[in-house]
Amino acid sequence: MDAIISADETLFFWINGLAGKVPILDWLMKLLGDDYFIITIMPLLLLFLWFGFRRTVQGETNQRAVLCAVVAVGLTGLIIHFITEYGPDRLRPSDAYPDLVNLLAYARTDPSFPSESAAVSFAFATGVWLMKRGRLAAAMFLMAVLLSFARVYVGVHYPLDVFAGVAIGILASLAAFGILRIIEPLPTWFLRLMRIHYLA
Amino acid sequence: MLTLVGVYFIFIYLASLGVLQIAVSYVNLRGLSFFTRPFWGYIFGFLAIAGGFSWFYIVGNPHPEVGYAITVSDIFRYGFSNPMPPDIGLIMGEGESVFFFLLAVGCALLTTIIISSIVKCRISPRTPEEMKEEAPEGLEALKYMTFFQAITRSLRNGKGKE
Repeated sequence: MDAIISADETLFFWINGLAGKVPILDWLMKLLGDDYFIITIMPLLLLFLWFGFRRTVQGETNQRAVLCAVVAVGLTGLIIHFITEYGPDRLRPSDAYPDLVNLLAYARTDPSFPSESAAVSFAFATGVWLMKRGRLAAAMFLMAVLLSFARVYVGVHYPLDVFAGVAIGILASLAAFGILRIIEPLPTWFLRLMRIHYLA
Repeated sequence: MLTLVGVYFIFIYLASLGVLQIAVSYVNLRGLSFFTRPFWGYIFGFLAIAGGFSWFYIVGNPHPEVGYAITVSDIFRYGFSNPMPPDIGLIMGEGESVFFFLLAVGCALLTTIIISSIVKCRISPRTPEEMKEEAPEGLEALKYMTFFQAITRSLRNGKGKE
């Protein structure tokens, strides 16, 4: 375990060591790693997916992808809440090594492990990808990867926090996919109800 | 001055309004569009999204250095605007973000429905004869009529069946 932590910290300091050298890269990483930027773009993409279809069959696939992503994010929130409540209380890098970390974001006070942003972004991307494989899902994965990298770059998470977040997001999406199949025909009824009210 | 929650709400509201206009222009849902030509829907959409993000990141100052999590009950108690008690923080928790995100998207959708139904009230919905040949359901019906026209039509058809 110590070896893993040591390797994790080595990787963290290598990535975080890049910060503070190229101002425009710092600015970009601060934006990508922000709490609200990509995490807001992703549900807005879901909103587009819900309304932006040209054929009925495509529309139903899109809307099922949105449902899957939403359920996945909900499950991710529950899992993260459980882990932060009962799991290891790992200090943020800036708290553990205040003089060594290039902190480009505000100092967080909650546990570092796991990365909620990485988990939620991967839950969005995987949830969509499981139902609708295409350019939009690929773009969402790219955004999730950029966000996860940026969180380490700006000094708010260790790589292991991010990897754990990615795993949680993907597993929660797979679970959401399964749950939506098990509870069928509820999703179909929900979509039908929305169609009756001209909202799907 | 607005608190972060107020700034966030306006941000999501504007961005959602923009995304909705881009989506309905892309699909050509005339009944939900504010404009007669999709081109203007795209322009409006991109401006609203850019405006929302600019508002949040330039005007809103999303990261005041405060470590508290504001709760929904605090917002209902103290409202959106300052002055707030000094121990009430400005950083939202996850639940609050989700709540205000959904609230803002809902308001944007409602605004879209109301404005488009007023602006496009002169769209003539398809006649019953036309509908017999091809009766669109759900969102696709809004290619030919506004939301209010569609709801009115459903209510009438429902009564007719009874």
